[in-house]
Amino acid sequence: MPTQPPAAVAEPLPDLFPDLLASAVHDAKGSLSVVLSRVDALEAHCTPEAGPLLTELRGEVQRINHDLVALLTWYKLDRALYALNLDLHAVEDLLAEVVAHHRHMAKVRGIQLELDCDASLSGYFDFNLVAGVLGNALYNALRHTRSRVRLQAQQGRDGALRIRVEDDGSGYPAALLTRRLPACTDTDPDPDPDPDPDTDTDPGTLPEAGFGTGHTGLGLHFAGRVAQAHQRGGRRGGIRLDNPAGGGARFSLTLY
Amino acid sequence: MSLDLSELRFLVVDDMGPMRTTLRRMLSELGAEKIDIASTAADALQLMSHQRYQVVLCDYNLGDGKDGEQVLEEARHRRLVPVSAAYLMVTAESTRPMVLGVLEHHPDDYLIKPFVSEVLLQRLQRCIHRKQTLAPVDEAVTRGDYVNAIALCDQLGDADPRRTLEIRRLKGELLLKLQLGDEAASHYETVLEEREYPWALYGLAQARRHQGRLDDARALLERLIELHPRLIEAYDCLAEIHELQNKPAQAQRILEEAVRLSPKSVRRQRRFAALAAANGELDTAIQAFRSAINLGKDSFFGGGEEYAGLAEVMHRNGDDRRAGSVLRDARKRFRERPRDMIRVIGQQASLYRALGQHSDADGFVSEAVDMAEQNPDVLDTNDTLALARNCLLSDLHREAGIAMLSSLARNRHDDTATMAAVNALCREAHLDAETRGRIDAARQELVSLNNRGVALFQKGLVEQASELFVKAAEELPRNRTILLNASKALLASMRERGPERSQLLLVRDYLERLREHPDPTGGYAQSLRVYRRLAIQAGAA
Repeated sequence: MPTQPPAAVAEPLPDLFPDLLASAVHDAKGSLSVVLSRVDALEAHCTPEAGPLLTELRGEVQRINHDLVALLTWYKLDRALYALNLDLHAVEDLLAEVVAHHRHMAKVRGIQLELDCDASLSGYFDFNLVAGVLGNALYNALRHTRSRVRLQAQQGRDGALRIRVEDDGSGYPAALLTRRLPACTDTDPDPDPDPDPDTDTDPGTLPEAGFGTGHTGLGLHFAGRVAQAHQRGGRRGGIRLDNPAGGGARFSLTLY
Repeated sequence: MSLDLSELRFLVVDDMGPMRTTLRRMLSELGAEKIDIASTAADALQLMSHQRYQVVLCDYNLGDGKDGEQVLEEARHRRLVPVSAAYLMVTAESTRPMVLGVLEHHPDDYLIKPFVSEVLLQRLQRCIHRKQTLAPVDEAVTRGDYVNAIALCDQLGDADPRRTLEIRRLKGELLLKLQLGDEAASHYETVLEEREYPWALYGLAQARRHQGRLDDARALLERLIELHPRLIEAYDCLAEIHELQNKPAQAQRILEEAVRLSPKSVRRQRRFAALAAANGELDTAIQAFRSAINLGKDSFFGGGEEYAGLAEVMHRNGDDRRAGSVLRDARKRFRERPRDMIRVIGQQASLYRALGQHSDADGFVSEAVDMAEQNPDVLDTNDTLALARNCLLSDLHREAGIAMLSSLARNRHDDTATMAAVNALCREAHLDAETRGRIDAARQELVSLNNRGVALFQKGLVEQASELFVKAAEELPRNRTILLNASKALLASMRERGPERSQLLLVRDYLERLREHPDPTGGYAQSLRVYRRLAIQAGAA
């Protein structure tokens, strides 16, 4: 005996954006991989003078890639679609990878990279996310520095992991420093000559202009989100931008 | 830390030509000399079955068919890669999922493309170094020697700070595997004082479950889900707790959420479907069984259960035509897999029986019985009960059904759940007193055998008792009483004469089987304690 079909149930339309976004990002990254491999192939056919140009191309491809990853991950973090992959890692492994991604670019620009991190220092964080944030910071530092970039990591007295990317360029523009950024309750008596007066505990909001000016805004917002997601005992991580008294710009990442 | 890649055998798996070329080039530049390439999952598995690779670089997306994770799952399951091999997944996204179980098969690392060769080298170095440090523990785990694996964890201790957390995590899981609920609980409690590690919350929940503290287990899992809403295993476990507390509707609701978060798991869809069916939500069950079937086509874990389940629900829904057609499809698919075939054919018999077409039903029962006879070891208790039921409902096969029940009565004489099911079947089939007497006699025979062994043991004739029980254990590999007594007898013998390798292996095997039974008398726990001392004494079992 034939049965009645079930009554039509109005189901909410599935949210397709995450899948579409992921799909678009995946395709774009695929293309970027091809571009990178073609750049490598080109190198063999070019005159030595073309070397720096190719390096720059590579750098930009990496940049686009980081932005895509940041976009996708930030979206997922925002909507609790991403399960943070936290684990214990040696911080020097983290810094080594970040440096490896950008070594080419540093070399071509004649910039000296310094690492200051205890071999025994370890932290509990999402390796890929944090590497992405630091890679972004390093890229920016390399763009604006004069001769050196220093990556420094240490453990604060409150158990926080603090990583800094410092350059010796002309420092952050004032407009950038007055933004409200996702921050942390900073009780660690770190020797800090000029703490940023604008850090507070509210999540940052991005001024309209920020989005329009391109990836810098995205990078910072992403960095803040990632840092906030690293929490312990009620304390959340955060980022801070400042121009230390000695000159240059300093990007600080705090993770709990 | 420099690494000589020239001695290692690499396998690169990617469906995109340019990527394969790039990876091969990078590896060569880094010094690798033995590099094999595969462009499909099938080719990769084929290569792995002929060669031992030390490193596998596999793209997550491999086009149609199996993905990189499924390849890994199958390769580890079929032991196609050595346990010391590093398996790196190449992926386009940075979303490496956090997983709670380290004893299961997961990639050792995820590489996000594009990447430069220096990054590849660093990841390889870290992976290989990690594998080397953990090699002794991994090997013990693969051998099934959890006792020594735990001892090795304790030995490795804090030697390498990078591995400390991981080792504590592994030890916790091993304690749970051995069902040492109390020890596991205190282990995880200590860890949680440091930080609310998700795996520790999960581990403690499992331990509480072993201890029978279900409300505590539930609270821990709810906390875990609050902190990490996308950890699927937490939902699975929570659903089980609800089932144990007789809240099937709640269990279904939780599993529904899990399925929504992770729709691609065959086993989860199957469990969800079964629960929905039991709760009478037939449309939901049908949809979920269908999903399980579709997913099962590419997965190692696809089986006859979901087809049988779907057909059963369709029948309940009044759609017998489709039910029949589903089962016919299943027959084509599982032609080479006797266990799945028997299940499917059994369902066909049930369907036709329910429709009153008895001679067709009898035909299917014959087929299933023949297949079971040709493949004696494929059926577990539930499979046997299902087949016995079909036999008893058929005039032609009652004797076969009675024989199956007798065999179950012997093999599981002390398992209340199984005996209750056997008795229920006897009632359902209206078996007369004489027949039930026969089944009971089979059970009695076993009781006598056991008593003989116990008598020998009590008289101090430990060797003879051991011989009797070991022989019995061979014939009745799932009988809790026999397994326990065999363990006790062998352990007593070794306490007198010192540990002996082959005996230790036997005891280990028995203890492993015993884990599938509840341990109300603490016999398993006690034997395990004695075994642990002896096994560690012997160095390796």
